[in-house]
Amino acid sequence: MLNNKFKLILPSLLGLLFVAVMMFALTSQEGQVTPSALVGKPIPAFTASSLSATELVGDNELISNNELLGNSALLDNSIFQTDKNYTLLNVWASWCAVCQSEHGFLMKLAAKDNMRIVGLNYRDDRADANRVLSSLGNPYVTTIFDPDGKIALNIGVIATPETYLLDNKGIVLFRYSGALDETVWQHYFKPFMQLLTDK
Amino acid sequence: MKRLSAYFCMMAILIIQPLSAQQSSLSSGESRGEPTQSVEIFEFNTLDKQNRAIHLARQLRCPQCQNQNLMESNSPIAKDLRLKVYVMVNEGKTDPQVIDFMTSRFGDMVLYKPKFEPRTYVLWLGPLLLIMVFGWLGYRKVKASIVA
Repeated sequence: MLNNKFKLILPSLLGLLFVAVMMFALTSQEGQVTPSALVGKPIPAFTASSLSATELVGDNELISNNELLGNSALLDNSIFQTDKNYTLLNVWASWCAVCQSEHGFLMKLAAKDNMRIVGLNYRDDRADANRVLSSLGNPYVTTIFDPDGKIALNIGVIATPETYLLDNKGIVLFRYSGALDETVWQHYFKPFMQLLTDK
Repeated sequence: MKRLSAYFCMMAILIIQPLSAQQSSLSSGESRGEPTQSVEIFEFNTLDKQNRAIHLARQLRCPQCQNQNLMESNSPIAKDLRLKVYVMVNEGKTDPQVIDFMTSRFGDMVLYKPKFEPRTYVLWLGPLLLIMVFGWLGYRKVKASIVA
C-alpha cells in the first residue's frame, strides 16, 4: 500500500529535483557570461601603438589625433612579461558608460592595492579616450590603442568592459565581463591571487 | 469598384507604415564613437569560396547577440567576425580551420551544433537513452496487459 503511494509521488519528486538542479545551474553562472576560451593560454601576439600618456594631454583639450600619435609608443606582448605576480588587462572605451562606472574602482586598485593594470582601448577615438583619462585619472601602466577592434577580436572580447587576469607570463587565468567593484573583486579575483601568493 | 480601390489604398498604407518606422529607427540607432557602415563590399576570388564563406557565417553564432548568427547580426563584432570568416576563406582556409579559429577565441558557444565529445555525451546521447528507456517500459506494460 505504502509502496503504491510512493510510486505515485515518485515522478513528481523526480520532476521537482530536475527543476531544482536546473535552477541551481542557471543562477550559479550569474555575472559571468561565459568563461574565456583563452583561459590557460597566452594573449595572442599583437603589435599596436599605445594611447598617449596623460601628462602629454594635460589641460589641453584641443590636442589633435596626429599630435597624440607622435607621442605614442609601439607595444607588443612583452608588456605582459613582468616581475609582478599578475597583471589586469582591462578593455574599455570612452563611449562606454559602464566602463566609467568602474573607473573609480580601477583607480583604487592601481593606487591602494598596487595592481598593475594594462588598458585596452576598444573602438575609440584617440582624443576622446585621452580626455577620459585626463578627467577621471589614469589607472593604467600603459594602454593599447585598438581603434578597429582587431586585437580585441583576437582575444575574444565580447563587450566592454571586460577584465582579464593574467599571470606574470601573460597567461590568462580568468576573464570577467561587466563592471568591477569590491564585491566582484573579492568574489572572483581574490581566490586566484591567494593561489599565486601561496606558491 | 470604389470599395475595391479603397481596400487597396488601405493595404498600401499598412505596408508603407512599418517600412518607414523601420527606417527612422535605423537612422537614429547610430551611436557616437562607433561609426557604422551599412553596406559591405567584399570580393571573393571564386564563387565557390563566396558560397562557402556565407554558408559558414550563417553557421556561427554572434557572441554579442546570441540569438543571431554572423550573417543576421548588425553588431560591430559580428561585422568584424563576418569579415574575418570571409578573409580566411578567401585565403584558402578550410571550414574546420575557420571554425577552430572561432572556437579558440570565443569558445564552443559560437557553434550552433555542439561538438560530439565526452563533455557533450549526455547532451547528444541523453534523448536516445530516454527513448530507449521509455520504449522498454512501454513494451513491458503492453506485454503485461496482454498476458493478463
